[in-house]
Amino acid sequence: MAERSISAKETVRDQPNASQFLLNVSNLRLYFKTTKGVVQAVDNVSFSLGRRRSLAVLGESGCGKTSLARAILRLLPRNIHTFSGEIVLDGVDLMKLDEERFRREIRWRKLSFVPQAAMNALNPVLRVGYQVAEPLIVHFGLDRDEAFKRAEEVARVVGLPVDFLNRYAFELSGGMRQRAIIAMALITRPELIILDEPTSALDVLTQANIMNSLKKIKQEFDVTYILITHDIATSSELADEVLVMYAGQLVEHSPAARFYKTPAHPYAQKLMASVPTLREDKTLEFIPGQPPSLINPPKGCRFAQRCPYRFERCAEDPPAFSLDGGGVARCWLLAR
Amino acid sequence: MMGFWAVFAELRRHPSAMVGLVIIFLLLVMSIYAVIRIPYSEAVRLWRAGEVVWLENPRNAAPKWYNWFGAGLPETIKIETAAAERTEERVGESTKRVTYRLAFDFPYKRFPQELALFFTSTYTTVPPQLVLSWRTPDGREIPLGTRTVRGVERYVLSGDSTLLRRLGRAPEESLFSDPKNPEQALSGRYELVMDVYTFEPGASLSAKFIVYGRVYGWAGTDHLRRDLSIGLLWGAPIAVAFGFTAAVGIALIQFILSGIGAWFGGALDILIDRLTELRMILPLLPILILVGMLWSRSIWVILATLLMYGSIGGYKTYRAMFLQAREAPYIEAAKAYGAGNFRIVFRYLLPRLIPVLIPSFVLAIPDYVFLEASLAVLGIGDPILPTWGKIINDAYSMGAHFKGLYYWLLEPAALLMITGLGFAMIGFTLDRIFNPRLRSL
Repeated sequence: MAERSISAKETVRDQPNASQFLLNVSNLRLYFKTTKGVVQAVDNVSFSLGRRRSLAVLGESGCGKTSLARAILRLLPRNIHTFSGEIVLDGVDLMKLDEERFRREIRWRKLSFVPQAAMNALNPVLRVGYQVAEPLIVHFGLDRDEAFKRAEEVARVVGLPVDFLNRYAFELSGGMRQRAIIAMALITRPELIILDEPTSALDVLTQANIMNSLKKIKQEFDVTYILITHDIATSSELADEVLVMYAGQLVEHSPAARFYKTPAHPYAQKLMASVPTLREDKTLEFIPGQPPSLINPPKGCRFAQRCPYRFERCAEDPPAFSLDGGGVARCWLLAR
Repeated sequence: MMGFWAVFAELRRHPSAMVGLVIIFLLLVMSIYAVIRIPYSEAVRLWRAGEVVWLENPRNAAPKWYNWFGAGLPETIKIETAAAERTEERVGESTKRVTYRLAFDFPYKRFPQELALFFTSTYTTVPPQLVLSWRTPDGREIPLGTRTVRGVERYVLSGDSTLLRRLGRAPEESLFSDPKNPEQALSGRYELVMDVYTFEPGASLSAKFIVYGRVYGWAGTDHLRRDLSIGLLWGAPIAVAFGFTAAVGIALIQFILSGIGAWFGGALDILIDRLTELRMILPLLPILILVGMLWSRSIWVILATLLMYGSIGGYKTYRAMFLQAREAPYIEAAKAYGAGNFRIVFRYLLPRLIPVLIPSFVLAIPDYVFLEASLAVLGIGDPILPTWGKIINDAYSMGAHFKGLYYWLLEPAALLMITGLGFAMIGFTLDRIFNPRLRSL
């Protein structure tokens, strides 16, 4: 959190010097149509992310983490109700691009993705090497051999043995598949990589291994990460900033150093209190109740129902308050 | 994805598949042999030429292997004057008599089918004349009358009504019958004696005598004296090519169309779906009959009609599978890295379901082989090509099954069945290999 740390004001408000940020998301809304009603999966989320920073997006299942990633990637299901807001990546307003331009100019050139179900994200009928190399063939028109050479380089960086490139996905272990997917995300040297639960479903040793690889990659490739996870411990390894989501909304966005010590939002505090620690003997806490339905969510603070500090103002929608030491949080307790 | 050799190794574990492979291999060998041995144009010429080309063959003759089972059917015997015993005598100033003794062994109990003489004479004004007589093995001599031969002539003794009246019985029977048992032929050495009189210097006459048997070749002949082996041989490449092209063509078009429809969805999906429903109520056979009657019966037109008809089918099943495959995480991953729609369809979506495609088209091949044969049996097959279906059609229309000419019907039918069996055996095994859930069955 040294010279590049982002002040609270910068994070929320419009920036005079927006190019300092790689990604600017403002008022992003993504609602789905379902038979029961409209699900507000991502509701009015705004944040900015600087170059070469890592952002961990935390939250429990169904809070909209993955939807947020998909909204940025524009990997949307068919039942879209509302998709609005502004996503500016490297000075380009993504919302104004049509599908074809988005595909050609953004996907994998500037923005790549490591999907959640990485175990199944490889085509079973193509060799791993071809798949790792394919984005180069698609986007840069490289010929096969050259693309393969690049794939070998990237495979070395992510710790994937080069001879594995000649295998099919089902011949690889989970960790190796995950590495292959990461290699695929890196091969075009994008500026932003969104990692959706990159280490879930892997054993702890493999997790650690992959997290170390990701750190190494970050230094070598100068990339910016958005790491979506519900594993707070893992996120602490990589994150420079933390964004906590609850019920489709952003509740806190803070520098990691501060966040892991003293989270500001009551939900974030509860979340941190639920993480087991190795040496301290503490009772793990959990949050009673469950997140509200995202169809007709309650007015005001969405966490109010489960919040131990609830008071009258919680019936109103809290704005984002800037915090000491950087960051913002949406809670009336922080009002000054 | 299994490689070719992996599939082959797997196939080897199933005896039925190996039998199927052997059958298909033999069919291919037969097809290649047919195409090399009798070129296409030659096959068509021979098949369509009618009786003229085949005059020397017996009509409706059974295959030779009938005799292996003790049928005792006579084979065709040909004797030419050039190879016969010849005595020459000058009987006048410019008149010459040449006597030919056309001798042959006839070791059969059954009568021959026909007797015919083919003459070629050369002369300027007065044509040569000849006196024919017949010698049986027991030494009888039967005069057969005289003839004048002008140029090239054919004299069918068995069809000569004068001779019939004089002998009181069909010549091919009375000339061969055993006096002790008139219903049987007398075996032994027969002689046709020809006294040829020429009246000019330089005039000549040559002849070929044919005693038509009742067996011919390995396949027999039909009512036009055609050698069935040509039709049976050529039926193989046509059946395999037609079946394979139709099955592969239809399966691939259906498959690709379904993949595209299911991937893009929306109006395209609805359009293909409605077309499929429309097709489902259109009957294939009447359409093919109409096309055959009103337009063309060429096998290519039939194939094209079939491709157009078949290609819009199968959408319902494939679509269901593709809709499921479309949601696979790796397809979303491909989309995320910016793969274009066609790359996703052809590299990601379609290969996923190839295991379903392969057994289904192998199993579909005999369907189209049979369809082509059925059309031929119905009389709307290709009129030019010799095919198995056409042979069955000929046999049926000529009443082969009433006349006891079973080989005529059964040979093409057996080839059709064996072909179907071969593809079915492989198809079912492939289905087991590609769809492992069936393995326990």
